[in-house]
Amino acid sequence: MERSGSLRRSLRALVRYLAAELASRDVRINAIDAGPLDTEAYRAVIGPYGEQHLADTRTRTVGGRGLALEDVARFARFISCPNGQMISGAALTIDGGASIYA
Amino acid sequence: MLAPTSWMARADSVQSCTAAGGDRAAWIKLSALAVKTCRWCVHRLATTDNQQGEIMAVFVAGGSKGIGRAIALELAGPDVDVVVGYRRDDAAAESLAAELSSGPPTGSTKQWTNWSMRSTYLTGRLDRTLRPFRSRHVCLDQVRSRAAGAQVGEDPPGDRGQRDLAALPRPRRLAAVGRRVEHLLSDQSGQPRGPSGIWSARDL
Repeated sequence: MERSGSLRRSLRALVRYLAAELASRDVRINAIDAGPLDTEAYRAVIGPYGEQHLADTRTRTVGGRGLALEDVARFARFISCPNGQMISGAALTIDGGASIYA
Repeated sequence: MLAPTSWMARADSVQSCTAAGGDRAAWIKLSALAVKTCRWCVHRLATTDNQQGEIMAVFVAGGSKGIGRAIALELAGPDVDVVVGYRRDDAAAESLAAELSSGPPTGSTKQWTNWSMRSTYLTGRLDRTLRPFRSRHVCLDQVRSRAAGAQVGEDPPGDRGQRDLAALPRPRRLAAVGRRVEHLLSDQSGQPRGPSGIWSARDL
């Protein structure tokens, strides 16, 4: 988890630098910081506590349904399309509010 | 929100980038350093002149499973070619390719009615041009330099994250134009590659 956390933070920094460097070419750079999702990568990081962690997080999300892969995909589409034209250099959190309680 | 087809067809940022870059294609969105916790990224590779009927190509690294897979499914449409990069799981990639090209999965709420077979979905046969993208640990410089074909055809030993970035060749661009993918940028001497660098999507 320590490694995961530091990687997340360094990614945020990288996104800012890339966004600044490429802005003149109309390239936008953003990162999506998603809440826990039940993927292979997540399992690899969390290990045997995955179920418990997912369940705990789910109860803290809006509506209590937990974050779905589709939520993240729709968000990615949103910030890629002209609706997100002025979004750049941002690390955007989508976690259903779970991190508020963390 | 607009339907994906309409916003991608317009792709305003592509045009500006085209003008700046001097060729018809450019990296539009290089959205992530694909590290372990965040290993998918969406590269909107290129489009042509953004008029009606143009096709956008989107590259999703680490797209065979998990979040990348969801994004590939979300972005795919009649005007959007999705190219999926993956490293290990051939079965998952083939499964995604089948799903993308055959219509909605059972129970899906996504409207596929007008999403014809125009889109080309590529996975599995990325060995040639897009092989450089087949990395679980991809970072920007590596993607771009390897896309130039420096070591196409072989997988480097070990974790690419450990490779010395400074030793890699200068970045060049790989772009998808319509349904074709071509090496647009130069070789080591700075000369653009010719038409021989163009592959059809089928060749991938």
